[in-house]
Amino acid sequence: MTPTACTINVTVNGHPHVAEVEPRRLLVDFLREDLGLAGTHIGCEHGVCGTCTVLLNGASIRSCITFAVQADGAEISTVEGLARGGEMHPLQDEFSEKQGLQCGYCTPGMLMRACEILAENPDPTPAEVRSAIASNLCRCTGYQFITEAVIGAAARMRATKEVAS
Amino acid sequence: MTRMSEVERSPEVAVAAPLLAEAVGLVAHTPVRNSGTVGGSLAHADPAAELPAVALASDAELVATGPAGTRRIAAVEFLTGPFSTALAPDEILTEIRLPMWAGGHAFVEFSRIHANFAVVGVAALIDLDGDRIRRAALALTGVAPTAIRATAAENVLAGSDVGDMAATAAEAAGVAVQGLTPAGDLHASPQTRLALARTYLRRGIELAMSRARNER
Ligand SMILES: Cc1cc2nc3c(=O)[nH]c(=O)nc-3n(C[C@H](O)[C@H](O)[C@H](O)COP(=O)(O)OP(=O)(O)OC[C@H]3O[C@@H](n4cnc5c(N)ncnc54)[C@H](O)[C@@H]3O)c2cc1C
Ligand code: FES
Ligand code: FES
Repeated sequence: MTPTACTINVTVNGHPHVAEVEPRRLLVDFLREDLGLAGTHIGCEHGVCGTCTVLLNGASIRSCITFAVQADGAEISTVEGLARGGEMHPLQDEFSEKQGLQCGYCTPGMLMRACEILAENPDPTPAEVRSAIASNLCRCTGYQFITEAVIGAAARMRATKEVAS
Repeated sequence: MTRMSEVERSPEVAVAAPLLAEAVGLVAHTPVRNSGTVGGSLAHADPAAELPAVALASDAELVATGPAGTRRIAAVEFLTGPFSTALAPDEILTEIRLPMWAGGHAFVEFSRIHANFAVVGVAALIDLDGDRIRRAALALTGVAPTAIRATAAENVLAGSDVGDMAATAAEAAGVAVQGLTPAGDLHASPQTRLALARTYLRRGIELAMSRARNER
């Protein structure tokens, strides 16, 4: 039996898309294969590692255990949407400067989770960051440099906000 | 169909169903709770999951809706085996009804890694009448094919004095694990599960008792 295609309306990194997807199409495959946004990685494919983390209406979710049809009507943010016109997001800058990555496999998920953490609490302690990023696995860095990068980005984002307001 | 992260943040749930609020905070990490629902966890009926134990201890009623209409299922009848429930194939859970509990609550668990599925978990509810326990409800995860109530231990607690909380909790915990025959797996042997159940029961009962005292 061929599954019937569904029409979905989703906004990805600010761009609206209307797409035909099979009901069983995973969100991560939709993003990577149908939209060509291969920045979102696939690791464990069962919700454990977090490298596929994207934001759905601002909340972090595992795109490997979410169907594309579940994103109908939603706004999705992926790692591709972080930089603005060639200028890195403070989180990306800090991950680069503080060596918050080595192989980089976990990085797209870490960055999206970090966005949510800082949206909820713009001034977290290192312990709070550590506890919050425990949702995402990194096999390289030992988490210390990731924690430092998130703290560094938080300070920069707060400073920018103060200048702006 | 309420997402766990909504439950976790709800001030109403924190007041009306603090046991549920505490247990939800122990389910995996934020990105999983942003997707996972309370109804989904109950319908999935993982023997290691927290929420079936909350439903059992709270005497929850689960409302199932299907083409034939709507019916209420008591939590104790809902869990029929590992990953198995009383839901018919054409029914879905549409409502979870938790009676209010006046006393103290506690959800405590042992997990090898922060936020992983727990090896053993304990839900405890204790209601006091002066220095005596009026009513106790205990449920366990990880020691049987489904979450289970520890009725014999509840009977030990009911009517007993809370003057010596530690001794009362230890006695009840000892009674609760009698006759349990948990299966061993790569996470823990049967002996380890029993030892953990005893320890976490003691802690859960003590915590619920002390919260019940502070409530007054
Ligand atoms: C990395 C990871 C760690 C986890 N750790 C824990 C943990 O520590 N503790 C824990 O308890 N759980 C844990 N879980 C499971 C998690 O809580 C699940 O999200 C939850 O059990 C079910 O989620 P869901 O609402 O998305 O349901 P789904 O996964 O969509 O559904 C699960 C099952 O229930 C059925 N179902 C869903 N909703 C209903 C309904 N309303 N009525 C009838 N049937 C329904 C579905 O058909 C399916 O068979 C973990 C999951 C992951 C990925
Ligand atoms: S690939 Fe989705 S959590 Fe690992
Ligand atoms: S940088 Fe390699 S897994 Fe995190």
